[in-house]
Amino acid sequence: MTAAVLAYVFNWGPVLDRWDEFLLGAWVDVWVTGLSFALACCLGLGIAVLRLSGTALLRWPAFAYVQLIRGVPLLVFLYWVYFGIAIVVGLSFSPIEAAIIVLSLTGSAYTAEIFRGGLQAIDRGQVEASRSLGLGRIATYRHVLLPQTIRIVIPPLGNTFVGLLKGATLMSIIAVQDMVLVATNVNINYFTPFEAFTAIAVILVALVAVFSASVSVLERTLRLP
Amino acid sequence: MTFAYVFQWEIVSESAGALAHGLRLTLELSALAFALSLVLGLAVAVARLAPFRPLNVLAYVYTQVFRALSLYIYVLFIYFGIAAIFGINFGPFAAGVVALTLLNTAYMAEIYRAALLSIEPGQREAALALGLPHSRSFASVIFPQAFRTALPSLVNQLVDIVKDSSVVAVIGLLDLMGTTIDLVNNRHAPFELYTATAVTYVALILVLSALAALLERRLARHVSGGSAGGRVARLPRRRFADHPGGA
Amino acid sequence: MPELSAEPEALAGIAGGWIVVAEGIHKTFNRGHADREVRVLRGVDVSVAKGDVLVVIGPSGSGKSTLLRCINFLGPPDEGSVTFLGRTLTGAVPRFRPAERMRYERELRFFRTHIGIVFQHFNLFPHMTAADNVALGPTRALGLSRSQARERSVAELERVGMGEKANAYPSQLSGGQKQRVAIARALAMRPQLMLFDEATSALDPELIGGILEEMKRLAESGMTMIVVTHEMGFAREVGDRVVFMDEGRVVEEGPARSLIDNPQNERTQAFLSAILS
Repeated sequence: MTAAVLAYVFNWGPVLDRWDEFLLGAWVDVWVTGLSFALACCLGLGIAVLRLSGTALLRWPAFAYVQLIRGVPLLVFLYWVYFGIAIVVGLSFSPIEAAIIVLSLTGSAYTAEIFRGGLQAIDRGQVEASRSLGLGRIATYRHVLLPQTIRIVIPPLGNTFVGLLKGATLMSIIAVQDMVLVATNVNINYFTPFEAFTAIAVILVALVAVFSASVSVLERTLRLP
Repeated sequence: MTFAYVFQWEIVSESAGALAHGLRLTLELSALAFALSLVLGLAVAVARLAPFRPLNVLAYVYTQVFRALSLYIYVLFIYFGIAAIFGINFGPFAAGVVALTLLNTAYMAEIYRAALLSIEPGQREAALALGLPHSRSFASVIFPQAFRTALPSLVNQLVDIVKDSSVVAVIGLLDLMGTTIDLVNNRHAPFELYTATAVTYVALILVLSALAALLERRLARHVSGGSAGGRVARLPRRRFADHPGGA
Repeated sequence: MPELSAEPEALAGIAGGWIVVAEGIHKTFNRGHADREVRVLRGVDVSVAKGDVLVVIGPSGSGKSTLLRCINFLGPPDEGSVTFLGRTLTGAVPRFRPAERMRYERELRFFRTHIGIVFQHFNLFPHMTAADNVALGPTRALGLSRSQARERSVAELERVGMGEKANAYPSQLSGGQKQRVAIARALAMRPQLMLFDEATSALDPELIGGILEEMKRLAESGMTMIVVTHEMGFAREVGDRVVFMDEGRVVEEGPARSLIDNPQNERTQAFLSAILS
């Protein structure tokens, strides 16, 4: 075993020389995640509202959507959209488009449940008070329900974001130029698997740590007296 | 625009045998990783709560760092990185088991920790008052209660493991996903095959989730008796996890 | 917003007459679930003349709060109609006819903007300051400008003695202070009718008097009010008429003093002797 360890010569050079490529790759992961997360929030909010609708015809499809999407592994979903849908519909997505579609849809199933929980956590009296002042359904959501929901859903939404960021690392499989692809290429060219994959592991842990800290700050800032 | 695509669903039925074989591998991989992280997760949780500071810190760092990584990065790191350093030639299956175990041990440690913390101190005091030594009181009083509390969340973790395990296909394991990729390469019916596989995963996940929900209800019923103070705490429901898993 | 002001002929119609008339109100909770159905209201008629205070009393579960929610359509009645300032609305929502639906929504908005309600549990918006709580309705439902609404909000808060707390959040206020803000919030809409739903039931005993005092002042200023309360002293002193409800029906109705001092129905007698002893 000792001999085997010694047989591997650490060579951090290729990784350190390409630090800028790694960071650029990481930026792709971050913005794809950010965009997908934003879309997932919009879509998820809509689905949450449908799930709370008084009409079963709206409630059930929303429920089925959430169950269905959450049952599909990300990788399967990615292949289904990138290879499967493309060939049926006859238009091909770019890898990055496919990734954004998959991450947004997957994320929306999770954010929908979070928003639903947040909206349900708000006392019914809030709606009554708002409606009694003559505010309509939409104004009630906008001025009374959502501002209160936001404060409840920030921590779990933060988890969703981190989940999507981790999911985004799969994009390199369909050749999106993210940090994982940079690491894979370094490994192929210089055979430094340990160094290359350590680098992206460190970047990912750092990103998650920074993001978690920002969520805590945001939570504290929005906290009501 | 004419809709030119002709569906070839018969390819799916022709491939049923291969897919079933892949599904078995998916289940084996998931079950093994689940069993291992069930044990290791408890160890890490105990380490976090043990009265020995360096151990606490170590366990804390482990749970924080290892939960932040995606399964794909684990797989790459273990299958290529660790393998190269130690000169071990992992097969894809072994690499998959190790990767899934490392990630889920961190998750399960957190579940166990929350469950252990939810046991009232009175339970431990009662056990010690009976003259049981620390280890016995943990094994026969604290742990059984905590395990019941944790079980539904632990089973939900199995749901994530099954979903995540599909990533191991990337390094060539012929699990359900790997078999599908293989079939697509040979039969050129990506839509039909990936749809079939997606449906299979959804069905599997729904069954497992239902199982977890059932378990939760069962346990809630069984433990609601007991002594006045013996109400077993329940962890917040995780039936709807708020993140899409480790991917 | 011309469509929101009461039309002249409607006002002429109510001159000297009724501000609100509710007729044959029925309401069932969990309708369609045979085993869980609760018939809360079984044909209730009430009406209030301009400037009058109608006090609704009765045991809990008798449907008093539900009646208030039927009058401002927070929980529309299953059967029956409410005529407010000459406009009649029923609980039948024209769901699938867009034009009628829009008209219905407009009527609903007329009811809601001209009827104020004060809740048992205040229902203040926790994410807004007292002043913003009061200003929300005027800006969003009456279309006042921000500065106009702010001005009105501060004035209303001062009227209930909460001027100094304009920038406080609900969590920083006591129960009595919260209820004062809630009253100011309802009054800022310049309502023609005020509903009070057990406005003092959630308050500490020492704070009840202040809120009752506020309600009394409001009544003296000529406000038309429907008050659901267990405070018999208030009912007797401030109320013009009293309605006693039990099991979803009006059991007895009459002038406040005579009904409380001299109830005719034996259920009313039992209730009053239980509550006054």
